[in-house]
Amino acid sequence: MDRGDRRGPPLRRQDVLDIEGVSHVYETRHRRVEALREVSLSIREGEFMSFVGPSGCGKTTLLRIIDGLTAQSAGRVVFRGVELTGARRDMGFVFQDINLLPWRNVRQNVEIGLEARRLPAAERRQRAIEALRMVDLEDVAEVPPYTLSGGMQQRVGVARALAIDPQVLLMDEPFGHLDNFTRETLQIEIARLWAKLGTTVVFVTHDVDEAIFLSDRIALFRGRPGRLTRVIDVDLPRPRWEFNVRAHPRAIEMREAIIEYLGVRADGQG
Amino acid sequence: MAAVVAVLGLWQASGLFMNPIFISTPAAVLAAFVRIVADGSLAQAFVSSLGEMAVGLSVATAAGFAVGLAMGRLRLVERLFDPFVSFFNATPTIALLPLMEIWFGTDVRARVAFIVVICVWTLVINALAGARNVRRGYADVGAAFGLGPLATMWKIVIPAAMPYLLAGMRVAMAQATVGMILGGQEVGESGLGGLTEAYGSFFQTDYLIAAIITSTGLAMLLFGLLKLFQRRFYPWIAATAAARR
Amino acid sequence: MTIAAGPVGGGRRLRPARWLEPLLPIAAVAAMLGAWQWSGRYLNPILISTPTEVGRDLVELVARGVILEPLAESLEEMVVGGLAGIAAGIAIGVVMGRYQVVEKVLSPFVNFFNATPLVVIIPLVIIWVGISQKARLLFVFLIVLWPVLLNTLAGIRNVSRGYVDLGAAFGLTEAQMLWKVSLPAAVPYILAGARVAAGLAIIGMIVSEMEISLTGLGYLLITYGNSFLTGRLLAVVLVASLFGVGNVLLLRWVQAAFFPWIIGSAADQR
Repeated sequence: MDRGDRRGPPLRRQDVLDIEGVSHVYETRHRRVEALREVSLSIREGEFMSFVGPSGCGKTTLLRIIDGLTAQSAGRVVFRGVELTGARRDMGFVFQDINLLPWRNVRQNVEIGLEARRLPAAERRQRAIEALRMVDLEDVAEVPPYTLSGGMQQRVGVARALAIDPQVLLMDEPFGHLDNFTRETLQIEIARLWAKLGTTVVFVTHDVDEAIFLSDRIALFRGRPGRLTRVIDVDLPRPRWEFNVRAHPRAIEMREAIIEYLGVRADGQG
Repeated sequence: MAAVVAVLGLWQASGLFMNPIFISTPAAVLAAFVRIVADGSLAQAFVSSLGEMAVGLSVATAAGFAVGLAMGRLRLVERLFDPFVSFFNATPTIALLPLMEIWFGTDVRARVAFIVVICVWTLVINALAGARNVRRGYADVGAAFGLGPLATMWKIVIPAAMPYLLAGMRVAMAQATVGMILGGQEVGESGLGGLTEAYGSFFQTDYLIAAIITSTGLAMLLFGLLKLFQRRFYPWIAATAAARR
Repeated sequence: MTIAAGPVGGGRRLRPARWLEPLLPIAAVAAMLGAWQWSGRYLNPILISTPTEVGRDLVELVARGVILEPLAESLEEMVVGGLAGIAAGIAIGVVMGRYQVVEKVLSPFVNFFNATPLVVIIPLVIIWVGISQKARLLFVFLIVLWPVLLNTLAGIRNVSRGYVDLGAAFGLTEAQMLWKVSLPAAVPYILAGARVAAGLAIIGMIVSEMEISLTGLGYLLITYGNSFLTGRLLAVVLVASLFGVGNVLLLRWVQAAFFPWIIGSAADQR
């Protein structure tokens, strides 16, 4: 499903992931925190959706709820018509902290999702190497992860998520801890991978430019309490790595509008 | 290095004007050492001590880690066991030696039981800390990729807790060594402890010091083995130490 | 934090209700005492006695003063030997930390004695000073010395780069650096050493009493053990335990009262 030469607005695809009235409230010793208040959103098959907002607006919490890492206080997550409870078999997750297990080498890290699915060793190995090939890292399959640079480690993290052949790919500020140069390289790499695979992607970031570069739609969040305020269409041509997105007039327009709308000040507070 | 030689020299010289009963001389100690190696008594004591320690440590490790890990992951278990573990951890468990003798008589079982009783608490506490302090991110990986509770424990919790477990083993080894020697001195005259007791009571200082040095050697051997084990099987602990601080 | 924020496959199911939690330890201890008492009916009381018998013996021993004198003696040895060992350990540790030459010279010996299970040295101590209180004091002194020394040394050496630069920037003399910066920065390490020392002092005391003397708690332990007076034996063990617990609490208080700026416990250098 190569969408490399599509122009114009995205085709209207079917809704595949429905978030219905999800809330998340928790209590600390000092206060009651409403991390999310009644978020409802539908994500379409094969689209690249970003959650954008300042720190503390609940976008990471929502992503974790979708993946079942955190339980919602109210509401439900429905995937292909089935309400999700318990472990998500078809979703891959890429962490902001990368979280490669240091006691396993790169290939073993990529295999971990496959182990949970009880695949035989030979098949696991083959699929892991394939996943590593997708991110251009099959050469370092047998090394310990802590010998790799941050960017390479995160690419392994992506391979790990892709290895299970996920229906949905969830990425939580995956490039947040990397330097600018590495970040830009990886953004292009993700864009290419997505164009090739056509997987549904939900991508969390506080970087507006990153979201504009990558996404079909952007869901805007504000904090205290965390809530979804608007969803905007990113009507820029694809492939986006072939031109200077930042200089595109429509992109500049969107960027200004988003920043103003979120009321994001220089310090990133919303 | 030079300092060691200098001290040895001084030590030897002291034999000229001090009653050798007090600290003997390096030459005499060496001679004594050779003698007890030759007649096999040192080897026998060494093996006997090592054997008791091995059994005691194994039992303590198996039980201690199992309980500690369970306590670290299951709040119910932790709440139930905590009063006992805290109490015994603060207790000078040495005091329980006579009790071990009452239970097991004055033989090897009492000594092994004593070793277990001394070092199991440290192992529980370290395993508890290790299981509790698994980095949130690692636990998330287990959850995100669908590992069940047993798989999570085996593939994530235990490896992640290794730094704590190994640190606990280091301390437990030191404690077990003490227990082994004390047991050897008090409960029958066995192993290296028994040797020191015997040589001491006959004022055979040269043999005594030889036995003391051998005991230290045994302890150092065990620590060294643990270090090698860590380096070979868990190189990532040293490599990622800075990040964990 | 929310009870939901745990690994999906983890301990959530077996988590007791909030109100139940503080009761569980009490229930566990009560259950243990009950089982212990009940076992007395079937087991030879020599083995583990019963709580009531131990309690009765304890009261009796205290009332008859049997325990008080040994207790006072034990306490005296422990405190005198322990404090001397701590003082010497700190002093030598500081000197070694300050003068690299001294450290290089003494290091092999210190490491040797630290690795030695000092119990082996008891016969040697007896040869030196005979079977006397001096022997016990010396033993406690020796057992406490090494961990304190090593911890102090580690503390002084680990004065971070930042502090050293601070001293250089403000033109402090060597002596001033030592007193005003290195020593205070080493306090967490020294306290960790003191914690270890306190535990060891009790052990040293009891061991030396078991082996070297005719008085003290250790002697009581041996005597009751040999006579199979398990009730009294356990009563003495209980007293020793209280000693140990008391030590821990005392040190915690000392740290909180005099060094409140230390957060958490520092590296333990054993």
